[in-house]
Amino acid sequence: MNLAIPAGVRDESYSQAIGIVKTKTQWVIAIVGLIALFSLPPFLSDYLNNLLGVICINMIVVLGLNLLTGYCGQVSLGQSAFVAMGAYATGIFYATYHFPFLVSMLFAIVVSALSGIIVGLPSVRLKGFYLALSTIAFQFIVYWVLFKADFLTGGGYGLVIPAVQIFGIAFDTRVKVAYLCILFVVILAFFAKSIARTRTGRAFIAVRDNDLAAEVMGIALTRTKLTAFLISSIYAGIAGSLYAMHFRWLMPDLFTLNQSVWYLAMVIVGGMGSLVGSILGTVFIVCLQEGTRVWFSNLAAALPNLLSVGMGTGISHAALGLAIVLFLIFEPRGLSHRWETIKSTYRIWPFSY
Amino acid sequence: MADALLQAIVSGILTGATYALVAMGIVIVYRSSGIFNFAHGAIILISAFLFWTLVSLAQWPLWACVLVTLAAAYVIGSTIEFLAMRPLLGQPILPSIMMTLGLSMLFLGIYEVVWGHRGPVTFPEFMPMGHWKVGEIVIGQANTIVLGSAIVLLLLFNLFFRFTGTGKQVQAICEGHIIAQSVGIDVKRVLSFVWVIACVCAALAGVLVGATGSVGIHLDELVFMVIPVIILGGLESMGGALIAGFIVGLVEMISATFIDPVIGGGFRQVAPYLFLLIVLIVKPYGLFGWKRIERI
Repeated sequence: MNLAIPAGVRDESYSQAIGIVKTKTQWVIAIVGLIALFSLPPFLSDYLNNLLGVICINMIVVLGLNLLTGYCGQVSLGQSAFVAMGAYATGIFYATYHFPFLVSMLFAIVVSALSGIIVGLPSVRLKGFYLALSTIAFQFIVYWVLFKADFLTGGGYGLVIPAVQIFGIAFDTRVKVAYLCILFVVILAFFAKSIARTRTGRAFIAVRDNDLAAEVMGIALTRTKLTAFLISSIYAGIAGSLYAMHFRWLMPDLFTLNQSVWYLAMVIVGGMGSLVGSILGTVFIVCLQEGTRVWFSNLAAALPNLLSVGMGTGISHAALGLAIVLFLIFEPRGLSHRWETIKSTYRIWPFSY
Repeated sequence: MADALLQAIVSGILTGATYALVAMGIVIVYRSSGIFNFAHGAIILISAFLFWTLVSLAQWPLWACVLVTLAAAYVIGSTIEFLAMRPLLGQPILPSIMMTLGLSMLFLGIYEVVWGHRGPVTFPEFMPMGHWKVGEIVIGQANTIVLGSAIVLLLLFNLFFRFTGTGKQVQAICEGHIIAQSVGIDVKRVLSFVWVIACVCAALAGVLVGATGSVGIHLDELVFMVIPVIILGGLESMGGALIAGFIVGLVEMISATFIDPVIGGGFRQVAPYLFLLIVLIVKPYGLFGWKRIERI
């Protein structure tokens, strides 16, 4: 049952039929939402702006990963390696070779796109979990190279990046960085939504549902799968650039397999194959991580003799794991499913269906 | 040089036996339900520490410790299947895999709370820890016991699958849950049994591998170390896991002996993964994996 459009609204022209925003109410919500989003950062503390930046960066990665995993059905457990590619490429070109930031960002996108194509190549022959395991291998290799190539990456000491300047504006405060992150998220979310609605996006869905049938229907399987990898690694590359700008200190330990697992968790908790789900899932998981961390470190500070510091982190890890497990038991289809249920309940209230 | 090569081969095979022992528990779950169990390493870790607590702190006799550890693994396995995996039956496979990652995080948290402040520990010696020397080559006795147990376990699994009713039922649900159900097999009961076997394997691996060295957080990382083994052997093959364990152990040890000195260490950790990528390009379904024929 498609309840995306309220009763009585009919498309009268092609431009209306392909529009993302269909009714006046939706326009009002979209514009008010954007204005609210962009007027938010100056009123937030530095801590919250930092968190907002982290959420935005993760959201960009998750939007890309959802196109790859949720739409095209190719599981990637190496997404944080692509982010690392983007972040380090930006860092090296910007901090070491003094290119302008936008140019280094472009380089970063090219680097991660190339690595995305290379990692995607086995997907031509591999199916299901073999592919996921090959992306894990990529993850480990990148992590090792980041340590070993210390003449470029600084190895375990890390790579320090000065405050970024774009067109003479120095992005040196949390508020400015948060603005840039929000801008990118809005643009890239729009792009992701658009890609999902094009022929390519529909080809992704066909490949996910049954790749053999898709091929029979005339979809170029290799090209579609590689396109999915390309798009998701470009998203990860852009996120990596913003990551470098946001944290300004890159370490190999920021880009572990654990982080890749969290990206996948955001996609699954949000709901696979739903871009609204990516947004909800990212906000949910990042807030959950931050919440358990803060709460349990406060708890450990309040009860110093009962809880050692190690125990505090242990309890927060266990709580996170338990939250994921319980969430999957009770809502395996993700937050977007719940969101749709709430929306349709609102539309047809007071009737039950 | 020849001695170094021979030593690398011997240690490679002994390391590979550890990998095979861990891989078998993962393979049996994958085969019957299509889920890669990322929580396997955490279960190994928890049961090894449980065993250590019983044998070192509580000072129980050895056989009682082993029995209680295996019984605990039985309880963990059936609980995981009943509470976490059963609700996801029939859903897409990815949430199930995410579930094992969540479980792994939960178990690691439990480990950190209960045993985390201790750091790595060692079991009291209950296996011969000496070495045999053949010429210049050193063979660890404890590692040889691990090798023997891996082979015995594989034989037991083979006999079990071939000659018992439950074993046949496990084989049947590997072919497809719906087909198995339609010929009257209680898929849920068999799956519960499979998880129990996997967890008991994990506990056994924890005790044996822990006895060959120290017991610490590195036991959890075993689940990632065995990924190349499982891919090379084929995700569905137990025997493949043993053979691939030897091959990957060899690759690791030979690169540790001959390549590490050249590029300054650490290559040992990535050599199996590079090897894995090459294997995937040449033989995408491993040595003994099933290439399923698809119909529309």
